[in-house]
Amino acid sequence: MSNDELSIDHTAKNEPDLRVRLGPLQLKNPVLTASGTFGYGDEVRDFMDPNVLGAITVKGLTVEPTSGNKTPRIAETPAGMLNSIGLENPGLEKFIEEKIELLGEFSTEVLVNISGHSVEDFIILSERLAPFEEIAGLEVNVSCPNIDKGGMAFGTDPDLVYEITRKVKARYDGPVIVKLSPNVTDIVEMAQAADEGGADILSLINTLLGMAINVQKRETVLGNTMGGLSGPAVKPVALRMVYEVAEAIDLPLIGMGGIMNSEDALEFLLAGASAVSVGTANLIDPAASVNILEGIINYCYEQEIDDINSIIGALKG
Amino acid sequence: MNIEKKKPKPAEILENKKVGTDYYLMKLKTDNIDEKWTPGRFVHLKISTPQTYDPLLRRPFSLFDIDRKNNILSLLYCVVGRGTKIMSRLVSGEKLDFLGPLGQGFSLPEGKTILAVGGGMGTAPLFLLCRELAFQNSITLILGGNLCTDVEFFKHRFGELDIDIKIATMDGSCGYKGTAVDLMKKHLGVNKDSISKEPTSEQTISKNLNNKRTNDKKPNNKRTNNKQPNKKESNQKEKNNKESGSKEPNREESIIQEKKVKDAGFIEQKKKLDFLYTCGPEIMLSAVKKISDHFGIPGEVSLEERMGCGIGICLSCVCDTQNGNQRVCKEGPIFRLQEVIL
Ligand SMILES: Cc1cc2nc3c(=O)[nH]c(=O)nc-3n(C[C@H](O)[C@H](O)[C@H](O)COP(=O)(O)OP(=O)(O)OC[C@H]3O[C@@H](n4cnc5c(N)ncnc54)[C@H](O)[C@@H]3O)c2cc1C
Ligand SMILES: Cc1cc2nc3c(=O)[nH]c(=O)nc-3n(C[C@H](O)[C@H](O)[C@H](O)COP(=O)(O)O)c2cc1C
Ligand code: FES
Repeated sequence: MSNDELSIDHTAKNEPDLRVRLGPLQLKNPVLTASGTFGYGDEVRDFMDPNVLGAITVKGLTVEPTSGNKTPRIAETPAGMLNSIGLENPGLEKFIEEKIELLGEFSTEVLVNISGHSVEDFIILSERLAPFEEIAGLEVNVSCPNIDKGGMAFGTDPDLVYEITRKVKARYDGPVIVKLSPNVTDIVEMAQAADEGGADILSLINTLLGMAINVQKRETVLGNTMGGLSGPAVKPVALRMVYEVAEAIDLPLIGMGGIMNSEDALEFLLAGASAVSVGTANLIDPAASVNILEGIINYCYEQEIDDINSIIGALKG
Repeated sequence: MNIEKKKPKPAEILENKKVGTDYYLMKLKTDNIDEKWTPGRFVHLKISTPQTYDPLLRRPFSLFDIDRKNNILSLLYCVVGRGTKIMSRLVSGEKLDFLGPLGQGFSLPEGKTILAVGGGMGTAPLFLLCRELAFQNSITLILGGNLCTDVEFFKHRFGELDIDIKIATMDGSCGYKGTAVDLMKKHLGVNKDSISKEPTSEQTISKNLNNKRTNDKKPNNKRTNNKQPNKKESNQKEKNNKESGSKEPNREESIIQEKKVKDAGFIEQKKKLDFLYTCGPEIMLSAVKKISDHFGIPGEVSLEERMGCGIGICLSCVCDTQNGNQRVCKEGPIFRLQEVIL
């Protein structure tokens, strides 16, 4: 991509190099979209071109078709939102039949987010998706409930995080990203478990479990009672977790959680993320990710940064 | 590769005035109102200022009216919560960021006999529809509300059009005393009492007619009363789910089902009717659907659901249909009455 195509404040200065390398995954720039907030990338084409981004991450995929939770599935909260979509998706086979070819048409990288209700599910998903070159990597969502263990999320148990990572890694040759859940006391412990399991990249954070109540009706707002909090409200928590993991673990990170503008994104890069994902912001402005990319480039010009890598984890003091 | 962002430019508020008890009419000047702006589609408004994220999400509103020549869009909205309260305070000259028009619009037939049934604020998308269809079709509009003041504005605006307007109010202060559905049955020559034998009670309908958008916010001092209809509503839903689920595979059951409906008091439809449009509280939609199913009158319904994105990427807004989950923002908000499970 040439930066000429973005509305950038051009000066005589050098065009910044935006390429980032996350282990085996090379991206043309560090701005991605977060799973579940960008559909399959085609719905947004009326508003922007997904191909200008570093990568797109598609909606969480499960082995079986999933119809999701009952509505209301969304609740607005102060500077944030709760969602309980319930991983609605067409299921593995239909995804392969109907979606993969279309995803192959993107010139940018496509990451597929996989979710399971048992360790076995993750094995099936990684085995079955391994042959498809259209997919640049798998993002393993360990924030979903583990049916075998009474519905407790996999991502809260380091042994399970380790086991799932190792099993996916053994079956999938491409880059394996483990997406961490923030609903834990010690995020570093989970990051370590994924690292030991062989993860190539970590992404964080998924949504924070929350709820909202309508006092007039004395009912929970969400049809599913609880849901995941995202948006600006979670940013400080997400940033802290990225920072902690970056300090402790030597794996490339994709940071996310409440990124609405380029300044937010830059905070994550400075805290140690090699790339960022834009989630909730896409819902409010489908071109948010492109605006963020433009803002990062402008920052590079302003600060005379030749290579974006020079700001990753580059907090002063 | 083109990175042009195709989002429309913010619209300028030309007018934002109170036109009813809690109703406001907002006129917006936009760039280009072209052939994509059709009845039934909606816009997704960003209420917060560009640099703030509160309220975070956009708010969906149906196209109430459009002036293609002058590029003016009108929205009719009811103040029910924080977002609409903020909207009601905006003044002319201010800019509003919007996405749209979004979703699928109503189908636009010619030479048909049409009945449109609107309940409360749900009547909003029917105005542009009726305006665009009035020349080529014969339209009867049934307007339902609790009080005369609820329907006054609609009565006045729809009065500009060459259509037949029938009004139903719960207290009988305007037009027919009863619900829009009662009046619809009367209009069609269907036995009025039929509905009382159905789980959909008249009272529930009346309660919901005009309150749908306000019931979230209105302090509720009749707690038990409020719970009751909710339960009924969900029973109704379950029942309908079962009905539609069993219709295809099991003919016998469907015959029994049909008989039940007949026994419930429906008599043969007297009026010729080609097409139905409806929009309003779910309980009303479900009653209209029942009539439409019974007489085999095709029709379309405008649905509402809480939205995140409005463009099909978040799956917040799904509704249950014969074809599985559909996104209200993308495959809807207009659906075939026969297809939706209410
Ligand atoms: C396709 C579509 C068309 C609509 N057209 C109109 C219209 O023409 N005129 C009109 O007055 N209203 C219309 N509505 C309803 C309108 O969007 C809500 O009344 C409005 O979003 C309420 O916002 P609030 O902040 O005042 O309420 P709050 O209750 O404070 O809102 C909290 C959240 O719930 C959502 N919400 C609340 N009520 C509804 C509802 N009934 N439907 C969907 N989301 C809701 C809000 O968008 C917000 O995200 C339409 C809804 C949809 C889905
Ligand atoms: C509507 C919605 C759907 C989501 N679906 C998924 C999903 O399927 N899989 C997943 O790993 N994360 C999912 N997420 C979490 C996001 O990918 C992201 O981690 C989180 O929202 C934090 O980023 P944000 O604040 O920028 O949205 C979803 C988030 C939202 C808001
Ligand atoms: S509101 Fe996001 S899919 Fe409909």
